Amino acid sequence: MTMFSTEPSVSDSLLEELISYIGFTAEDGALLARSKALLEPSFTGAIDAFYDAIGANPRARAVFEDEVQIERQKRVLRDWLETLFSGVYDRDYFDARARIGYAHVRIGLDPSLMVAAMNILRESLHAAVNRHMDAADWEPHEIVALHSAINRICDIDLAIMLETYSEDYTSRMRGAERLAALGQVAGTIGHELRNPLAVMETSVHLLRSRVAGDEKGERHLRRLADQIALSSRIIREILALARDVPPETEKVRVLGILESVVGEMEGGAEIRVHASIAEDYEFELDPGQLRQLFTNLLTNAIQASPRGAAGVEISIEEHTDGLAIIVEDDGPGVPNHLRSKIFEPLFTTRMRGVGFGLALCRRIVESHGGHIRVVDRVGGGARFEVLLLRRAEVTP
Amino acid sequence: MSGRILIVDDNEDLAENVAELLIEEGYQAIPSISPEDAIAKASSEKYDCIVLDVRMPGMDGIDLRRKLVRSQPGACFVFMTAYASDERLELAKRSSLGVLPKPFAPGSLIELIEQCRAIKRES
Repeated sequence: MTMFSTEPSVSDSLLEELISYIGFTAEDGALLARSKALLEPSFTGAIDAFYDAIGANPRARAVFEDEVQIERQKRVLRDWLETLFSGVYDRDYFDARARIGYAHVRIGLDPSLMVAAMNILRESLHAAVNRHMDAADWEPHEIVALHSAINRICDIDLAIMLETYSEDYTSRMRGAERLAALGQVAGTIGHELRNPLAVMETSVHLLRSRVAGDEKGERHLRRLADQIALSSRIIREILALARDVPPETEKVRVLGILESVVGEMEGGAEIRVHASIAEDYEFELDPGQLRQLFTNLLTNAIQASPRGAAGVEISIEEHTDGLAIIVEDDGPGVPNHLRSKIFEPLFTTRMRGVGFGLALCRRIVESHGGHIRVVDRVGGGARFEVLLLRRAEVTP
Repeated sequence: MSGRILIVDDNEDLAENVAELLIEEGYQAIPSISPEDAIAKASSEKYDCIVLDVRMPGMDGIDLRRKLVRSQPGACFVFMTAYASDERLELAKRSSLGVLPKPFAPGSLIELIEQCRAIKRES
């Protein structure tokens, strides 16, 4: 189903090298585990201090969408602290750390912020050790050793996160380069294939009256016509993806474009449209790309929905920072582990299609300085959420 | 439908197919597979519409149109192209230019031919 490797993980050699280079020992692990009960009451304070520091940094703050996400991340951070002092530093432990680095690429966090963030946590932990360990009758040399153990495990964690970050980042860059090269070749082939398709299409039309009444003949001509239409669509998507042009924005009447896309779509009348913006509401964006975005999201939803267009809803809302487009279907939904992959070129879960549609959506959205994601729809199905930022808020 | 139509495309199968389906619709359609041949055909006959491919070896459809305009004052021109981007086609549509992306449904070719002829008659 996928051409890409899935779960991030740390290579054995990197892990061994890190542990021996940093000098993390079984004694360190035992000390961390022993201190856990005493340090645990300080976790909440450490977590709050961490998010206070994030709130004060606009670049870090920008990564989080809302309070709900911050609350979720606080729970992730608590898990991280709990396992940091678990005393068990096995394969699962390090793979979980790798996933954190991977998640940071996805949300676009700069690695320099990861280093700063780790330092904030490290200082909170050292302060907690200083506060509690004396009273708990730890020997001075044990306290010194605990400080070192905390430093070592934090160093290993950070190294793994950064390594995963750079691996994932590099592979994304390579993917983009490959796509650009592939795009040039695909573009030429795509154009060239349109001539033979035009011959086939006209031949099918000419044959139609000659096989009229012949059920089998008609069935095969219908199949040919369907496949020609499909080939055409694939070519159009490849060409759109190959032609990486920056958006040419102008004030566009959003609902006008949506109406025209829905009107041209097979079964389009069955799509439920909810718009909380005025009929003549205008937004600055590239009209051709918006059309493409609507078309691809809706086509995708119709194909995912067992009821076709009747199972699809699209909502357009104005947000403080831009325009939100939400497309929902009543299909099977997108499992968690595929949620970032479905936006990669050449990834598809469908038997028909080559996996350019959503990749193109992502490129259009990102070139408008927005983001796209997929979540579960309440009551089953998938929910694609797009936010297109107002031009003034797009930083180059 | 009636009228004389010249179809120019270096893809012989396509030129013939287009001619054939226009004939079925009642037109008099003549296929031509090179710009030189089209120029020769246009020097001896008058056409109501000339349907031409944009990209052809030797001379492209744009230059060919320029050459044919004088000898065919009554003809409108419809371009067929495999190379236009969606944005350009949208632009052509808005400026009522006769441009048809390949592949196309025969119905849309005929619609475009008739549209262009109507505009030509009005001018």
